[in-house]
Amino acid sequence: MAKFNVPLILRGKVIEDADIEFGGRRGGSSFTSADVREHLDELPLSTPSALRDLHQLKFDDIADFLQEVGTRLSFRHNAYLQEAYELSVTTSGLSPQILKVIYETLGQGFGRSVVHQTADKSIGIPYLDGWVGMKLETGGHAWTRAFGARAVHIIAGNVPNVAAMSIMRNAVIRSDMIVKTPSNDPLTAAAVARTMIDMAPDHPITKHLSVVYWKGGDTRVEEALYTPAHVDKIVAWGGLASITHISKYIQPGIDLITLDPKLSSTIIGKEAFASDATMREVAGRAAVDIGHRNQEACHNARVVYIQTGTDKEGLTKANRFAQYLYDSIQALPPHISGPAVAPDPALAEEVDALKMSIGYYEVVGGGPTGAVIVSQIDEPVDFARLLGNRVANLVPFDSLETPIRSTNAYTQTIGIYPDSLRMELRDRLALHGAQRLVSLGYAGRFANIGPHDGIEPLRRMCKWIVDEEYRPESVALASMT
Amino acid sequence: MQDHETNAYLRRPALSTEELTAAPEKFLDLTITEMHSIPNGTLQELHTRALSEHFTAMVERVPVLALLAEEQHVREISDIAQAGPLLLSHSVYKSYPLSVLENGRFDRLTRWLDKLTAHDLSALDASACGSIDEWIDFLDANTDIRVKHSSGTTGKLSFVPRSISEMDTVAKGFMRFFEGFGDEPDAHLTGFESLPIIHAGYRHGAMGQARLLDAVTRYFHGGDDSWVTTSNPGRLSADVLSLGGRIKGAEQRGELGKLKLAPGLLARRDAFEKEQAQTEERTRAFFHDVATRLRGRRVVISGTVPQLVDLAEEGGKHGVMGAFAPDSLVHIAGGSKGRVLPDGYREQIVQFIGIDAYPRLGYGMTEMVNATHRACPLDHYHFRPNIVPFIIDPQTGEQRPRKGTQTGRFGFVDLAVKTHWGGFLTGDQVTLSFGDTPCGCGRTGAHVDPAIRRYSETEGGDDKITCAGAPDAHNRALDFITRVAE
Repeated sequence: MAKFNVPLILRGKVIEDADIEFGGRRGGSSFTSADVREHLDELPLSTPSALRDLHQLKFDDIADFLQEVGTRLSFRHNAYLQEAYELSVTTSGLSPQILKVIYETLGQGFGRSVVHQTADKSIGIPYLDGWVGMKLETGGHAWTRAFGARAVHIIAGNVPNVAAMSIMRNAVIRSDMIVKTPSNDPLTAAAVARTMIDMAPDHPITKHLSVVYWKGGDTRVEEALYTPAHVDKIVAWGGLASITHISKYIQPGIDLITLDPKLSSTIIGKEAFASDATMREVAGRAAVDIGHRNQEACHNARVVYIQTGTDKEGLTKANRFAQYLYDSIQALPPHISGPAVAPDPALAEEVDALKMSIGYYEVVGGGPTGAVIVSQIDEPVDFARLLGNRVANLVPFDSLETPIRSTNAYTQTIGIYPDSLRMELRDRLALHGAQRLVSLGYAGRFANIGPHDGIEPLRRMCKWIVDEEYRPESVALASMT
Repeated sequence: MQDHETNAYLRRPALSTEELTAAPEKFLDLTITEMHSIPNGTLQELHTRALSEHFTAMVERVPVLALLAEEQHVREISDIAQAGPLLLSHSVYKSYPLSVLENGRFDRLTRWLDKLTAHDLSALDASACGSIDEWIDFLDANTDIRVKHSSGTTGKLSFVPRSISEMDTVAKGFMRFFEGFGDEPDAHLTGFESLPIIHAGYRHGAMGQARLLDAVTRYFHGGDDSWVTTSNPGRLSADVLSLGGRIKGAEQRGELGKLKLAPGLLARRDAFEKEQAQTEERTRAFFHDVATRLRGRRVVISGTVPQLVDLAEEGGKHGVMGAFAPDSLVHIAGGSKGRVLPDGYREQIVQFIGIDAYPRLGYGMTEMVNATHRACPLDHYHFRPNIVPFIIDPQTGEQRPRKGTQTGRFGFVDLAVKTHWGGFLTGDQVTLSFGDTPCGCGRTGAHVDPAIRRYSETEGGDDKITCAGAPDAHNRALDFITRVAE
């Protein structure tokens, strides 16, 4: 199997030593990297004042820079991106066809319109570019500005977009960024950084991006880095174990922003089952939410609630819908979805066992191409958290209370059909923990307008600073109001 | 083999190939020397015929087997390899929805169990049962089924529908654990029926160890339970274990507040509390009994490694060391069960019991009628002839050739099972020699290398509460019930 070297990138400097070998995920390519422990003194930003160069830029400068980066992230011409793709093919849960499309379109995330909308809707460009003043009702004047910070981003590697998006977001808010890359995608962030270095080695954005791989949990690295003297913000993608691990470094002066793994679902109202033609059409839409990117992303639907009812007639409909849904998933084009790349044996065993459950569940399909499980009761399977590899679980229900009550803080996206039902349910679902509601079939699209997983991470990633001015002639010095 | 007369309780006439084919549980009536002297070719022939008959008998009566056989297009078995696709994973034995337990729907659980057994449970009405323990007792009282349950990873217990018809085989198999082969010094085991039995754990319940004690007292002692002394004479409750697993899962997901407790369980809270309060007193009583009545006697003592480590530690605290005679029979099931064992734990166990050396370990699983097989002097585990082994590729699910030495996922059909299919696919990675080259110890038949791993461990992390973890989970759950019920 091919060997890859993952460079250590420290603010424009590329270190290509191969000190340590790391194993890739799912037995994929191992890779070598420079030992970051030998460079610990260079890893944190020397002084917070060094962020000044970034804050002297105007938003338009940043947008121009990112636009040019996006252009240079052309898969056909960019050897770094091609290498990242080659490595991903051996470590990712996504098929080569899907990965190719993602890498071919990765640069679009740096385009001016995306960057503008992100900055404008998440923060407000004037707050990024300078101090925004206002007159205080109680007298005096105040200005607010969103400052960048010294940030470590512990990113996820399930889709390469996470690396690209994190770098774009960070540039917009002018933070010094250390990307701690994941073992299932150690090269994408480095590819973006090297593209910047080739393009403008002395640009402040280039000079404030470091890309590092170390084995998560390496206390020698983490204890040296995660202190308020070096870091203001930690943005952590990851599961309970990794967050619990990081949280031991949290103390006053370090802000932890967690983007933990989420599960998404679907609610399909009774209108979908009015005719056979509608059932097929709705199955086609649900199939996209399930199968898109091989069900590797947080936004992919796993449990699908269907308002067929749970009586005999309802179950017959549900089982028929399952066949349509299965067929639609199988018919998805290979650059969108395909058979499991990294089959989960534990899941496969559970699905096989359900076939033997007699009465509680029906299973359409099975094996590496995916399956649709139909609960014959109004509950998801007990292993719903394992659902992946294009295995969906249809759960028939009578009352809308069933899907509403199943929603919790782990729910990211809910795809809903029809849109009138979405409008009817959105307040209830939000109160129960759902973080994003979307028309069925569009879970894979994202509105870049700020909120993500129920918070506004870009606002959290900024330091919000207030500057106040009072004059003794208009505001009394010892006034209590 | 002059000692057959003293093993009168085995009432063993000479067994013909026909008899063993028709009733393979009779393999356990043979001595270890006899059963492991059957030439490999004869054994293959026996296995083929017995498997064929067992399949034909069960496929008619066990719906799950019928379904699987249909899916795999297996109509009859004329070759052992045909049974390879018919091995059921652990998941099948817990393929009911967890909500059935949470909501106390034991009528539904019974209907589900009905599909796994040759017994007809269709007329049984278990709707009045309020808890898993009650349901198990109900089955014990009204049917021949004696379910064995697992410790439950996620709160969901697996249920293996064993029955009375296997109990005597279980008891005989336990005795055979201590028996050697050929010229080995312990080849002629005598006096087993006159030895007190010590067990490091709970006396009652429906997990493997307690069911084993039931079988042994029934077969060797006419049901007289005074032969058995356990460190905890109470019951390892299935309900409490299930709750323990659910608590662990809920803690990991931060959903502890959402946990539902069945009303039946809350109603038993006082009884649980009382039981828990008695733990210390029971330990004291146990060691008093060991130090007085049982001191220095030749006994049968059994437990898992962690259970015996705990017992030895407690023994030290209670001033009991070298408790039994040096020729006592020691049954240790292998594996640390996920526990990190203290340094020198072997010496600790040896010193506590009072034996000369750490005994050879056993390998097996609760899904086997004869649950453990003691290692031979060359440290291989030899399965009794009622076990037909299979090695399955863990990635592809394809069967490995039935010859030579193969490494992969271990599966088996236990021919001593009478009222369910008995074909299991384990989660263990083993290196198995199919027996075409006999082991250097002289035993014929298939044997397994001592390096055994659980796949879940090799793939990183295993949150299964194993047998040894079960009492811990049990205690945590009891704490939870007492806290939550206010």
